[in-house]
Amino acid sequence: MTAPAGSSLEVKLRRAQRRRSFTSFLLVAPLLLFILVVFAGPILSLLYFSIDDPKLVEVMPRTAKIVTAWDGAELPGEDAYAAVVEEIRTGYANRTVAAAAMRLNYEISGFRSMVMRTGRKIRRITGPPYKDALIGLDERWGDITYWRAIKASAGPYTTRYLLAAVDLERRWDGSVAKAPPERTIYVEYLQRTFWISFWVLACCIVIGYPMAYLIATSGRRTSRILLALVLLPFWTSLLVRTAAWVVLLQNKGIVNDFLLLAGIVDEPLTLIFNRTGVYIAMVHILLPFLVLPLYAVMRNVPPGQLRAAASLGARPVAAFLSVYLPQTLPGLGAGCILVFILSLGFYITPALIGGASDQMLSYLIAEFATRTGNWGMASAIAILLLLSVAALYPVYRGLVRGGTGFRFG
Amino acid sequence: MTAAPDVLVRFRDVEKTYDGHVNVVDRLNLEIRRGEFLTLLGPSGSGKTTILLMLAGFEAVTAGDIALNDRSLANVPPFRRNMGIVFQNYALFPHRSVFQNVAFPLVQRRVARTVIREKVETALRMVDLAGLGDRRPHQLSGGQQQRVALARALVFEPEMVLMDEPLGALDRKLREQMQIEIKHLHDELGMTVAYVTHDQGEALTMSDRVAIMNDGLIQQVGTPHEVYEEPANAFVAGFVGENNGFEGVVESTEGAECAVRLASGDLVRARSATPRDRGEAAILSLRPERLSINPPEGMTANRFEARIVEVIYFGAHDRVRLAMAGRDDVIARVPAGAGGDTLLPGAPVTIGWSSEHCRVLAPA
Ligand SMILES: Nc1ncnc2c1ncn2[C@@H]1O[C@H](COP(=O)(O)OP(=O)(O)OP(=O)(O)O)[C@@H](O)[C@H]1O
Ligand SMILES: [Mg+2]
Repeated sequence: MTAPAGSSLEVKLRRAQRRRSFTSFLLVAPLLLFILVVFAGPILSLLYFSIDDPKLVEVMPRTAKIVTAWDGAELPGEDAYAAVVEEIRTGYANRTVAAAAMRLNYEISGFRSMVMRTGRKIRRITGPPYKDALIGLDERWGDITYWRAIKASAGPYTTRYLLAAVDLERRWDGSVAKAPPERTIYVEYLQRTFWISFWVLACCIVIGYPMAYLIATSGRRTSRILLALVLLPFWTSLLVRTAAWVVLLQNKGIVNDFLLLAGIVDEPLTLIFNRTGVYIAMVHILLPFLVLPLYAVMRNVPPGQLRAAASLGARPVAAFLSVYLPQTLPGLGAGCILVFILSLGFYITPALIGGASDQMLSYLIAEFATRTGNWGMASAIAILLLLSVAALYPVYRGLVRGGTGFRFG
Repeated sequence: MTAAPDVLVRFRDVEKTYDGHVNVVDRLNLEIRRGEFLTLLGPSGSGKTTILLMLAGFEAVTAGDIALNDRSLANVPPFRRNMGIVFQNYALFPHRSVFQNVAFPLVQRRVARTVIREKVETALRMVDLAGLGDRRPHQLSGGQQQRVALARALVFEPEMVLMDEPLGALDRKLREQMQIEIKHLHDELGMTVAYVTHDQGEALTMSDRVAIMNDGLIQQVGTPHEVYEEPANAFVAGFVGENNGFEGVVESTEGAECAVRLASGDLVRARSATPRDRGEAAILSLRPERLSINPPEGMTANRFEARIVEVIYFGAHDRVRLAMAGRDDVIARVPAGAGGDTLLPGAPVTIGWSSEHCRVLAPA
């Protein structure tokens, strides 16, 4: 039976579909709201913080305006000096100048104390010419690099944090160049973060894959016990587990006591405050995130696949590589991406168990956010971390899609 | 004993236990001849799959030996046994296309690309799946998947094909169709087939020989005709086809003929394959289709008065349940309409059968 186009049947179908999609929208509405508030919101504010640069322009608006218009080639004119004198004077009186001085210090260290000293002595300047008077107070006011620093801080928006997070900086003439060596630590941290995450992932795969296989293929009782053992770490908090590892891995800790007692080593191994300890603790914490998705997929691999492959002439290794592994790739991909992304963001564990050279990007974020209050830098590094994670998504898709056409159900 | 030239596989005193207490396969001595279609038939749990798994190399033999072409298989791993296997759940590779599934054994044997293409296409045509090579297994119907499994097991031209209830998941119609197709393939290609089923109809229609198993023991090996018409014991008689069993005691013997006295006092004339002595307990086996209702006078050696309990309509035939000799579960099978309208529940009838078709068996 066919009905003409635009018939009542078609209309009814469309109406039913509309109703259904409206219902599904209602069902996910709470989730959408939740994500908006706790996920999209913070990320957007992060983005904003990383380019927001209001300090100087708030305290010294006239100076900011003048240096923004200045080309930076030679020392600015008298009007700039006049603006600085006046705004430091008022700013010092009502105690707002410190924030601006702090911001200037990001550009040149020592700038903060220079501004504060100028503020203390600003009473001595009573009239024009301000340029000579200011240079008289502190001869650095005659150094063009300080003026260029003011120009760079003039805001209200800046790319300096984002550039700094990848070891770059903007020169006074607007060109982008490599930052001086004492500030190029961020790329190294990024590399180290990836390096540690990579090895943690590799260890997790080597330990977790056979484990998941055992759990998925053994009897109900055994698999339940093994699964409980894998999940055990979830029952205690991350901090407690990390602290426990500190106790275990110490030179006089249980692990070393055992190794000494068993005669495996002659003197205690250094397992803590170095990379080894970080690897041990992180692998332990992240293992379940690999095992669980793998286990779920392995349980859905039809039984007898390896037998079928063997009966068709495949040696054990070939049977595994061509028949079993491809069918577990979706789970492996999901597990790997989970472990890798989580380990990219690790903070507590390296901070407590690692040494100075084992800290990861999150350490820098915490450092900037809590110790120096540099939210711009903290946000920029956070965005670097976020982009690294986002860059991994296509890899994951490729792994799951390209490897197999396996579908659930 | 030297091997006859046509023996492909020989099981010699094979035993298998999983738990160390019970032999799930016991004293197995069986020969599979080259080119034959041998079916292992038996109830669930009788050890059929276990025998197949031992032959394929997936389960170790606890005692005894299996030889292929007179060479022991003890140290030959599964991937070198060169046997095509069709598993009950097909075990197709879900992440590979139909073509890749069928090509798999050839790829493992490092056959040249062009040859693979040719062979796979031939195999797919053989099972009537030409043109479906690009599909994934889950895009096929049950019957089609079964055929892919068959093509995959045959494409590398193994000496022998093992099939473990390959048609178990199919509906009746498709199953009957596939039975015929498998049988035709066997006739065409001439490979040796070891086939497992618990469906006696399937075993009888497809096999050259049937081995009937119970509790890990082979009860009888013979052609379908032999196991049906000349069951070796009461288990075989009861398992293969429908059967009326009567318990009694041998009263007299006269060559192959004996007279057996039933518990009800009735005396039945029957034929015995093995000589039986007077006074021995015996079981009589009578196929329902050999039992006639109201036979003409003098036609049958055994005649009894009976009463019809019920008549069940089966389409092409009627099953008539009769009460006689103190019991009410004697079954007769009559062609539809043969009895006219005289076959009504409660009606008294005369029933009879010739001594030829009633076998005397040892009690199980
Ligand atoms: N892996 C195993 N471990 C322990 N016992 C087993 C195992 N496999 C089979 N058995 C036992 O061995 C006996 C024979 O099993 P088998 O699978 O060979 O029977 P089958 O004849 O194939 O039955 P079915 O027709 O139901 O498939 C059964 O009692 C079963 O419980
Ligand atoms: Mg079985």
